[in-house]
Amino acid sequence: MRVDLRGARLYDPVTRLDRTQDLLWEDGVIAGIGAGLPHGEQTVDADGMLAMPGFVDIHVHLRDPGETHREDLRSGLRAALAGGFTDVCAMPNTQPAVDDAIVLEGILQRAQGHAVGLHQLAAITQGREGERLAEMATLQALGAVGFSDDGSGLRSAAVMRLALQYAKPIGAVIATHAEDPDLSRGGMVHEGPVSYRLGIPGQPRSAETSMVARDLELLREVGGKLHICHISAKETVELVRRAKTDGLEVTCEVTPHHLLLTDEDVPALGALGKMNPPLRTSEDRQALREGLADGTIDAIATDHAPHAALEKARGIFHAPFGVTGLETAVASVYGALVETGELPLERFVDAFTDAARRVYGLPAPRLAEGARARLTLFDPRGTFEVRADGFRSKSANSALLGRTLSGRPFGILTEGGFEPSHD
Amino acid sequence: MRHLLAIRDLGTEELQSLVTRAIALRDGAAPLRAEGAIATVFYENSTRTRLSFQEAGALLGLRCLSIVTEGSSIQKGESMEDTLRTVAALGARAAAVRSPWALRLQDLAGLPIHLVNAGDGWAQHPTQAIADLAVAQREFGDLRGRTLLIVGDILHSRVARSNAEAFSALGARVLLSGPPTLLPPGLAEGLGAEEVGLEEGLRQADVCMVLRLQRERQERGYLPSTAEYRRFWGLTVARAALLLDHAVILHPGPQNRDVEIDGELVACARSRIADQVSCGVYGRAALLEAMLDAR
Repeated sequence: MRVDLRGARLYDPVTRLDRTQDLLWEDGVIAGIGAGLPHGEQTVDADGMLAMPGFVDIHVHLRDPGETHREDLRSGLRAALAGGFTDVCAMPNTQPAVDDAIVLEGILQRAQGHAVGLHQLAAITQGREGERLAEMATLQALGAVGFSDDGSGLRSAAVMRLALQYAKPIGAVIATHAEDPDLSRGGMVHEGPVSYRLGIPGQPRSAETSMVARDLELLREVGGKLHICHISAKETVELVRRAKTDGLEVTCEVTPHHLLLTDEDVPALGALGKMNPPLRTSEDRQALREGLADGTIDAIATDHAPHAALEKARGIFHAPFGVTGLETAVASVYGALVETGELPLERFVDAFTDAARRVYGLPAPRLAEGARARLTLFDPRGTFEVRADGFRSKSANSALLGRTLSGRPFGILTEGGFEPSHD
Repeated sequence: MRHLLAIRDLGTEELQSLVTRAIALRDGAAPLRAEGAIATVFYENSTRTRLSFQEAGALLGLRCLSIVTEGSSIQKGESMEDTLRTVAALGARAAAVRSPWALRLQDLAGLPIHLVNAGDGWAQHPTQAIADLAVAQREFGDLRGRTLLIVGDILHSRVARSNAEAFSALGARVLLSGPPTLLPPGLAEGLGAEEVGLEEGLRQADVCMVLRLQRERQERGYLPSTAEYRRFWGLTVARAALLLDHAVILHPGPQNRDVEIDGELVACARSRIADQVSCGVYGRAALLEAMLDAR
């Protein structure tokens, strides 16, 4: 079986490939790059498209098992395809949590055969209760790519320290949801002038930054690999920057919504402006953009958090935290930061590919002859309107509803062949 | 007017005309008449607000359906949306809703009933602000150049938020004073007001509004004790002596006597606390007239 991809701009910043040429796919491998390549059984007209190493979203919630009214593996991976991702890393806060072999193996088995690759994290602690370590070595041997109690902060510094110690010799990454639950208690939005004006309970920035500072000091002391999920405060950017300068093995990620929105958007968004960590100020947003541009922030990850329409319709007090992101992430960041010249294309691609994969040590696909095929195809000139009825995800709780995004995922080309993002 | 959810939703002229009408009603003008019914839907306890909506409705000739959490289908898990649809189907044209949940009513603005925010969490209590403006304007007339001082738990106060917006809209200067845990940095800025030391504020205020101190604040650790609160932030008889001769004292009630306000100040010559309650009825009557096209 051969597929020929015609007319795309082939772009791989790592190998310094950047030319508009044809690409031939043969039995899962990039068989040729150049002009005058033979035709395959399938021809993909990719004129004007960007073809890049496959994008990965290293932070998604697929709600499966246990909350499949919000999302399941099938719908979540279809949403990833629609968003232009070849791979996702799923968080373990399912029901039950991914804290033992049976749950992990069940997920990995059921995800097989889909064009989009699923990489699964497991919980740091049993039941995500923050007390006793899960069987990390066993779970890693069975395929867990990292460990996280994401969804809530790990209250005990002692448990976090033990987790780093235990993970270090097996090279496992501890991914932290940095939130002090005492400081954030009851808070629904960022604590600041906007929350004060609206009269909505806020979460102070110290709920995040004090935990980041704590975890970095633990990392400094015991070693290991620490990844800080969805950072939101400008002080966090600075803490990570300093830690990296000091040589600590730390990485971090930022969500598209924290790059695009601020707490000033909360009144108009209502419950769709409620996420954890909360949208912060324009100063924070600016610091996040700068941290992403200079590489302090390694990856862009969505924190895709599907919730049923009824759950989000309960009002900002009762609605659960979180918004979806898989289907809008690439286009929304491309339009807001790359097209405007604020973020170089090279860094944008890196933050969705190599830098993101390095967080969990995933092998990086290359756009080169002889390489296993794993490509994201993106239409930089396309546009689409974010509509509630336009999602492949089971849920439509996007903070970008009603916006028109510039740039549109086109499809992915993996070992299994070409899969279009849209019908 | 479709709904009244927050003071900021009203134009300055619209706000002033409600206050002017409230004062006229308070001073004896005949209320207009309206047909049908209103509802009060209260998820929190209330004496003044709930009764004054009922009284305001009665002035206009409206029947009143009254729902409180206890004993209603709310106890069976009925959502606010469904409760409001039910009272609308029972004939209520407007509903005054009190809940602990900020911004909840904004999501329900499409329901076939006029919504009046009768207090939503820490956020807004616009009809209280209309009443308080009526009290202040009866006292001082034009509020431009006048100063409102609000003392106490600003952080958790919907009364402070609504009044800061309302008095600012009509040209008054707004000062805020309170313990640092209940008036944290940035809060005054967020409300478009100035933070001030209590005694300095008392010397400048034309209207001194004392907020209720909820016992829960002490339990949650915001304050060491109510005794210390009274010592440093309470409007005691001695502190009230710092007020300008013409200054008046307001309190949205219910009062904790000898905590945030000394018992003997509650009904003193400077106190307009009873007038706040009366103006509460007339302010709500003025609102219902405007909202329900009374004639």
